[in-house]
Amino acid sequence: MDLKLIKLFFLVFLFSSFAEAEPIKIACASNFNGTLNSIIHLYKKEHHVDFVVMQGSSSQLASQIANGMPVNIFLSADEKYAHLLTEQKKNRDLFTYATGEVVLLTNKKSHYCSAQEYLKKASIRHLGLANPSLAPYGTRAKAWLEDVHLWKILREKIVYGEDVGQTFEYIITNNTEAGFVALSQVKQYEIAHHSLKNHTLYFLHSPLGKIQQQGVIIKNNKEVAGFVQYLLTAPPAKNMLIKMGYE
Amino acid sequence: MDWIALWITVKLAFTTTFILLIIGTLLALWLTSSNRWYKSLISELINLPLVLPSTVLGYYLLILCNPESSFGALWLKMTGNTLTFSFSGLVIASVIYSLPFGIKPIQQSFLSLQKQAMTTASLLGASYFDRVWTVLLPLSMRGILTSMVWVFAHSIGEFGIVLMMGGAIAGKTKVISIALYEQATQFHYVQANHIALFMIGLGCLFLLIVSWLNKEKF
Repeated sequence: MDLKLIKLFFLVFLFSSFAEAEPIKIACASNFNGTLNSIIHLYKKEHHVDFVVMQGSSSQLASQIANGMPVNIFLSADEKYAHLLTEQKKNRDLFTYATGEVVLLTNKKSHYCSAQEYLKKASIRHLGLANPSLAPYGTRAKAWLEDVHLWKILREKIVYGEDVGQTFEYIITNNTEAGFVALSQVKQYEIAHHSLKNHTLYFLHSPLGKIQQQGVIIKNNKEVAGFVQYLLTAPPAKNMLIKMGYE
Repeated sequence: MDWIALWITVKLAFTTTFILLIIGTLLALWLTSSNRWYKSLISELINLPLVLPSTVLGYYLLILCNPESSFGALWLKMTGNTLTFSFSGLVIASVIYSLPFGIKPIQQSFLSLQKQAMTTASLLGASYFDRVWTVLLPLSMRGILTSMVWVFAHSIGEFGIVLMMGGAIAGKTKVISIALYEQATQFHYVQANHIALFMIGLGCLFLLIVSWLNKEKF
């Protein structure tokens, strides 16, 4: 009797997992995570689909996908890691979904006229940077620092976050005086806390600060195609992107 | 092979082992010296790092050690360095993280000697210091050594805390586990393999030492 009951439970459990529609699994670069969740929230109002979002640095996610992590969509923070995955399997679809921006955020109010001036004059103990060998936003920030001849001066002060998410956390917890993060993170923080009262945001005013963010469809189906279509063209999604500081 | 990261790792493990040898022995001595309710409570609390994810510790250290917090500010004033993103910060994290390994084996040894050897020595008129120095410590050698090996091995394998509060600075806070993680996520599988295989070899060596310690008579 007991054994039969267990078998029955087992069968019900087994089939219930088949009955439900597969959720759309998205591997998302940290900078886009908050925005993606907002867009998913909008999308769910109109469609009956479940989502699973995995967050990390682009390089970490790309390496996991290349090694068989089962996802439907990969949203990279730049072109490089998206291309790596289309090179691995040629028939994967590539798309540009946003243009992000690298900015400098400080942990206190400051009144310098530019990011360069802040970095030259303010007393900084630690400057946060997403690891340039893992995270595109860090790669760009490093390139910019080299471009404005500040890399060598600041090198000793730089501490690396695994991705922009961690770099942001370093600033908010006062562990670094400033750091390079994504504009979208700042916007998201601003919305959640109603202001940026204790922080100052500096734009880089350089083409190096703008990042073309590309995505790849890893495993397609009707639901996945529908969502990507929505992300790329639907007005509510576009508005959300603009609100979060993307172009 | 990332030799600098390996050197940082070994340095961290040695420092942690040395500090915990002193703290662990003293704490174990204090915990076993008499029966008080708060001592058994502390004795249980010491096990907390075993059941908590290391990120919990990393998170709190990030919050408590930042230069704006009172503890972080005090440390900065005293040493001129911040605790986060520094080697000394890693040492403190590591000591807390390995505390159970640094105390439990020694405590066990002390407890087993408490009844007979210590009571006999006391009856023969040995002072407390004499009893500890000439009876308890020499007879607990195996427990102390076991604890040292565990602490060393555990510190070598540390990852979560370092990832959260280390800042991956080469030559300062980038330990071998972080180096492996970076290589693996950058698709550098050859280098990642070298590090991983080396670490497996090291792990086996530690296990051999522990099993030898358990067999050997002291």
